[in-house]
Amino acid sequence: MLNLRLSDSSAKAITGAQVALVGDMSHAGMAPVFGEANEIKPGQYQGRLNLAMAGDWVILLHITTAGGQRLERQIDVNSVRPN
Amino acid sequence: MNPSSIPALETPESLPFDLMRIPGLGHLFRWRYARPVLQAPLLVVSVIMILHGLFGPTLAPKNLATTLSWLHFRGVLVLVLLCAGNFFCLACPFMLVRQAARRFIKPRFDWPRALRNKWLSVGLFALILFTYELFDLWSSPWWTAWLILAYFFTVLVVDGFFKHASFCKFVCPIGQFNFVASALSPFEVKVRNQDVCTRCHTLDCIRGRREPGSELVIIRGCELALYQPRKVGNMDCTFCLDCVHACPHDNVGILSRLPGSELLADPIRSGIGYFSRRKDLAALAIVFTFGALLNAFGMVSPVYAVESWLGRLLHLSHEAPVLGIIFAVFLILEPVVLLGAAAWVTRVWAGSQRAWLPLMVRYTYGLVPMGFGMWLAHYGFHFLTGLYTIVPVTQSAFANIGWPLFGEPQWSLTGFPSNIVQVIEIGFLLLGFAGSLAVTYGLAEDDSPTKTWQAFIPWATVGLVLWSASMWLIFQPMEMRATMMSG
Repeated sequence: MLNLRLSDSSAKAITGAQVALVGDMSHAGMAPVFGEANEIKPGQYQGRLNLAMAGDWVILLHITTAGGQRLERQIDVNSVRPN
Repeated sequence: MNPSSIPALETPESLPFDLMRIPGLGHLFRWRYARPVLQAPLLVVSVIMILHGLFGPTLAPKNLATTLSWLHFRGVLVLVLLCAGNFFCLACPFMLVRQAARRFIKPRFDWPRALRNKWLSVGLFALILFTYELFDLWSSPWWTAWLILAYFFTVLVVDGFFKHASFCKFVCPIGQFNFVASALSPFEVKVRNQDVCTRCHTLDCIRGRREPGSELVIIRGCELALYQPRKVGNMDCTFCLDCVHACPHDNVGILSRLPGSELLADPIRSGIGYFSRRKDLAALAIVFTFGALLNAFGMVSPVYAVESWLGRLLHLSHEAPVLGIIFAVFLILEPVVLLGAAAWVTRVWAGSQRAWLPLMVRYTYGLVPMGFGMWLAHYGFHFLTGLYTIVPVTQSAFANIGWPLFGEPQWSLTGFPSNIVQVIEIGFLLLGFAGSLAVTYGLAEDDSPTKTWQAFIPWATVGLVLWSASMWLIFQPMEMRATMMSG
């Protein structure tokens, strides 16, 4: 489960954005996992990704704001362990 | 007449199959420029990998340098070695650059006598395995690109100073891997008819073909000092086909043989000597075999537990010394204990006349099939499960430079399901184990005709230990971290 808070440079919540999630392992050859995060409160988004293998993951956020602006952010998630 | 006294007739069916007899393929291989033509595409791919590695996406699964190096190149390499022979060395892009450089720089020196063995390349082979784990090369396009660049640089320096194919024979770790693995290949560059060589006085296959009436070499002979009539097996053979082109009698072919058969006998080999007297070659076989397990161990969960435990035990927080200890245990201590014990038991039980160390050296080659089985299982796994990833990575690379020629990247394309690939992995390991049993039995039969089983069982036990460890490894949960010591 991924919880995100989106805000602009003046700390004002970004609402109405579309957030696509892509999870990649740190090495080549593994299938990426896809998901999306939905807005649960103004500026707060929640999504789910199934990180199927233990190891280091990189999550890419593809964000499209209500105004059409496109942003990309990367989150490194190291040492994922199996449940 | 007693039928057993009739000499066997050599029917065309009983002769080895010769790849050069295949129309088109034979024509290509006989063509003097076959090698550069095969090398050129790989050179282009290498340049693309370097550029993408240095300037492309930093994420390994999105980059051609890491995807092609650690999935496709390694996978294709071991499968070609298994199914054909050392054809990668034939198409080696590093040698194309070297050849171009030698038009301007003529090497003046002979390779130092003290280094005319495999010790340097054994060390480099182990070093490559070590740096692969330490710097997590599989996760870094940038480091992967620099590794390829370093390879090109080293080739140019070594073969810029030293004559012949010094880099291939004494330095190149990939080449040594190929030389050892190609002992299990079904094809070998070999003379077709020894009688033709007996009558030959020019020895062009080793000396090079000269311009009539002059000493000018117009087609070079073997740069790796393998004299064709006395060449045995694939060790040190880069399949460069220089001997094929130089032979004035068209007497060198790419002939079929029983894979692994070259490990069964111990004749004197041109450019090599006796396998049983080459401790450096045995060390290479050890790094090849035990390194196969170690390389796979680096990608499964238990390695992190071992590293953390060692770190706590020795109060070490840096990865390098901990990894160094693991490498020393796997590549030195474990082989010495296992092979040393097997050699001791063989001496005592089978009454072998050989001394302890020569016995160990001789039987080490019997483990090569098991090692190759593990490399096949490991590299085959990554190759097959990530087979199609080259499609979206290429699509993405073109899109990123503004040429979306192949459309949107299809990131969902990956490869074969891992449960199917695991069955193939088990097959490779069984094949390797069976090969090791066959070779060690052959050596035992040769050594101790009256106590074959007593000589065979200790080495079969070592093979069984390695096979069990390999099977355990492939059933471990895979885990690839770039942060080993994090806990």
